[in-house]
Amino acid sequence: MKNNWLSSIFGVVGIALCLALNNRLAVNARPELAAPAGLTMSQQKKLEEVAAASLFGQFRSNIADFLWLKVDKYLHSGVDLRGMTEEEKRNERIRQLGHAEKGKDGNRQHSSETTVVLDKETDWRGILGDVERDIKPYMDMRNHNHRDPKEALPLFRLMTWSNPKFIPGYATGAVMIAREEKAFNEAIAFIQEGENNNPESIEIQATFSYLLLRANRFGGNGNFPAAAIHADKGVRLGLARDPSSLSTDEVEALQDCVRWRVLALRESGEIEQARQAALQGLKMFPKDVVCRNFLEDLKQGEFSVKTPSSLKNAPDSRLTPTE
Amino acid sequence: MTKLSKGMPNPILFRLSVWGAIAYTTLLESIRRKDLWVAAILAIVMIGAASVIGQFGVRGLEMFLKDVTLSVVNLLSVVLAILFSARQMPEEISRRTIYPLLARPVSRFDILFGKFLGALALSTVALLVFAVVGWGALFYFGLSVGEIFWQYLLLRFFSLAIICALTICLSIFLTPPATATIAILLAIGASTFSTAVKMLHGSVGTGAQKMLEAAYFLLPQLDLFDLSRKVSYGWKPISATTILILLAYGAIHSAALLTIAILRFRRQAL
Repeated sequence: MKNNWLSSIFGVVGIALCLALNNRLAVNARPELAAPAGLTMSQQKKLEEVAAASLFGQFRSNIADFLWLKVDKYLHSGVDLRGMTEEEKRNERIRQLGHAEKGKDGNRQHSSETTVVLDKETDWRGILGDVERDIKPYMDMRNHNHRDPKEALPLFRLMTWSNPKFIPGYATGAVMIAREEKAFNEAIAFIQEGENNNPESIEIQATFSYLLLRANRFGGNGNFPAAAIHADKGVRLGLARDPSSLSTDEVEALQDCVRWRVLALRESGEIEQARQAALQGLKMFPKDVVCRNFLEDLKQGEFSVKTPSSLKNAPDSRLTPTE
Repeated sequence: MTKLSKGMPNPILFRLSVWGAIAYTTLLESIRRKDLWVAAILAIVMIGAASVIGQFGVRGLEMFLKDVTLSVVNLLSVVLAILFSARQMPEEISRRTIYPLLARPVSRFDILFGKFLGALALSTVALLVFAVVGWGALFYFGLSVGEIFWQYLLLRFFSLAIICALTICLSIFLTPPATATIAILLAIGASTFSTAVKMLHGSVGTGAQKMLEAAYFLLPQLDLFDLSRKVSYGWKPISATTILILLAYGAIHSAALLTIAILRFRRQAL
């Protein structure tokens, strides 16, 4: 009996100590979260050199990947999706099951994905299939909509705090933040932080340029010259890289940079520069619609040239066209 | 055990009292060995982790918090259920305490089933401890889990019954460490196995399809008892029919596993 009392007291004291310790730790942790500044370059270098720190870095990176996967689930109310097998891709009916239309708020459009839980028409498990569809989050994914992506915003904050080198977190998170009312400046600060932590990233330059170019959509003030500078930086980063080393996402971001540069220069009134940017863009992506349309419009005299070109010395394309 | 020798009433009542007595002693023994302290310590760790997250602020992280909390409850309750069940029969044999039991009017089936009930009771207590801690932590942050949470607990109980039966069955054939390892792999890998079978089914030949179907229906699909995702994402409660089907499914699989165990245990030299 005496032992039981001692055990209970020990348990209660343990809980109290735990809570007290957490309150103490939280005081130190709060500033980190309030301004998720990420690691400096020297801290990053240290991470690569110290074994324990490197392991911790791996953990942080895994957490970021985990949170990234969670975002997708959040957008689908917990419905598990997976990529289709080759057989499923060939099956037109199954192919339609995982198709998402682009939402009004610009949610991602995706196909070639299907639910992990089988739909009733293709399920061979009879009653167990019905049970699973009741137990697991499941919905008919034909032309489905997504939850409001704003709900996932804290996750973007957490993932970039966890791994400041996690580029998709910054690129997607900044656009999500911008969609929040009166949060345009916050989005710019977020992508700026991403640029500071990842100065070599083409995706971040593309997103930065996009936000500045389309600022009026997000209730912010557009800054076309700055948008052109970031897009140009992205193009230069892409051209400086070995084309074969660029990932699909990077090639897409590079094409975005090519487009945003043309549009930003056009909006800035730098028509000749925009023309040269479009010509250079077509060398890199010969079928690019934005560059072509701009040159077509220019031929029809829709714009007048205001300033001479300053892009004459821009590097030529070394990239393989993707479109 | 003195109750067993007090006359021979109705055979059914007698059996129930035997199973109850063995389950009770199993539970008592675990309390004496301070097994439930493992659950208590893990619960304190959970409280600590939850309060750390709470200090960061939970606005916008509601679903994430619920998801993580219920995943932890699932994982810890399954691991403890396996560890509790894996040593019940081997310890009884190795410590030779099974002989005085068998000297009484108690069959090998009674011992095995009583041990199963004891392990299930113990696992349920651990599940409830984790669930109360998890629920309390969420409540502390102002998050509600809705009525579906009670369904979640009920289905976890059903799945623990299968896990205890599976582990006791394995413990008749294998050593305790091997039992625990294989049971943990089966319990935690159930979801991956289920997904793999569903994916492969459409892309293999007819013969292989039949084999996959047989494997799917023969092995207990523990994944079907996991409502945590629906609780986390705020879905509505599921239908009573589904719960009844799962009760029957769990009972059939538990009975099948215990039958295999007793068939082997009856022939086992002690």
